[in-house]
Amino acid sequence: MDLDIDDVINEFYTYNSIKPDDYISDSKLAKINRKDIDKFIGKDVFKLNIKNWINSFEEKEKIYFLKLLSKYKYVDCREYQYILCDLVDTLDEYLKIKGYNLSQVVFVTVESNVKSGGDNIRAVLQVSNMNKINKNQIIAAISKIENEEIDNAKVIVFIDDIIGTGITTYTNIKKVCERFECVNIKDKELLVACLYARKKAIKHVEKSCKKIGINVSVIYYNKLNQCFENDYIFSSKEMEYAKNVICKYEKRINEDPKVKDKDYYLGFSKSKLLITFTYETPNNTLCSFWKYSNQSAPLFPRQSQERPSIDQLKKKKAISFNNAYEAGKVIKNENA
Amino acid sequence: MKMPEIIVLNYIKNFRRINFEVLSAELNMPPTMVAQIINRLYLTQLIKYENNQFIISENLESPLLKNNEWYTTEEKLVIDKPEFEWNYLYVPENFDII
Repeated sequence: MDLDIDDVINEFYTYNSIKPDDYISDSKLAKINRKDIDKFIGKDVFKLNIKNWINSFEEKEKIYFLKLLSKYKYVDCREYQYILCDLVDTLDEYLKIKGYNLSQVVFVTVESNVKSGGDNIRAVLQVSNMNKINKNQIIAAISKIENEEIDNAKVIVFIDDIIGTGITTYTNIKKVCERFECVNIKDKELLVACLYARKKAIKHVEKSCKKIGINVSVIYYNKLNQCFENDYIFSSKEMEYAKNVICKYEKRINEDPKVKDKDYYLGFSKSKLLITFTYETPNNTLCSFWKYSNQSAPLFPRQSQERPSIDQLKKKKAISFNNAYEAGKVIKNENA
Repeated sequence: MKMPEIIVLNYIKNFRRINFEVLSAELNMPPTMVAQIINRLYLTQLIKYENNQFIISENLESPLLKNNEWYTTEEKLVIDKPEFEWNYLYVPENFDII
């Protein structure tokens, strides 16, 4: 193996502008040392996690996965907040040109029955833009709001963390337009805002919306590259062999065991992306990085695959109980 | 003031920013509920938001904020409890009589 794990870790941190000393995975140590907690890239666990993950690949083929890791996009909590702030500023400028302002906007996140990135977006959007956006402008469940709320808005912004294929975004826009057909939603300014997007996915959203008579504009922070793009990670010389190796493992991990009715070979809908947000890895990422299989431990596992243990739940309950008790003691002593 | 608000205020006092992952885990709440607490503190002017930083209001006085450490009892819970080692089978002496 030509590539050393330490070099890859350094490249990864540099590529993502992350200071390795900022994060620790152990919550107790993080509090004592005043660091942030990150269970994936914390300095105390990252190298070990990489070793465990890389061991499931054959010795001479490990290098290709390490190369993927060196160009892997990891959005930590600080960058996430910064990007959402920046995105709102860009949106503000765009709206001013069109003759609107931020107070006339309603933000719609993707409504999901399962835990999704929408919850994080709503929270960070509200807190990072405290002086600019009111919490009532952020809508979580479109199915539960009144027509009036949408009718009063001049601009509707569909906001998401990533547009990998454009399918979810388009479905959401279509659903909202059908639900609020009576308030002439198509006459309003419709925008899609996202942190990261694939250019092909943006085109898909614009094209599909046009077909049903909706005009949308897309604002995004940065575009995403697919891992097999020429001279991005692999040179054209090594591309074919690297592709074969990665596809071999992708197939194996996707099918061992296969998730019922789902295909994650090269990521959802073969998106071939390499990205993780601090709270979740999108399924558009290569499944070698996030899917549990009988032969491998993923580096950035998706949370939907994890279940809290009884011990974790007991510990959480005990912490809340003890917190209340300790606080009561302090207040009683102060009043005595 | 309720316990979750005290924890958020203590975090802001120490770090001048918000980390939803840490606070969600500490308060056992989803990020949007943490955001609601922050919003409430902002509207009641217990915190200010200036130059992308959160600051606690000068007027805010609470005995629970006097401690410079971020208020949590997690460390106390993970105290060094002697763990029982299950390395042999314990058979009570009066086992046959039971």
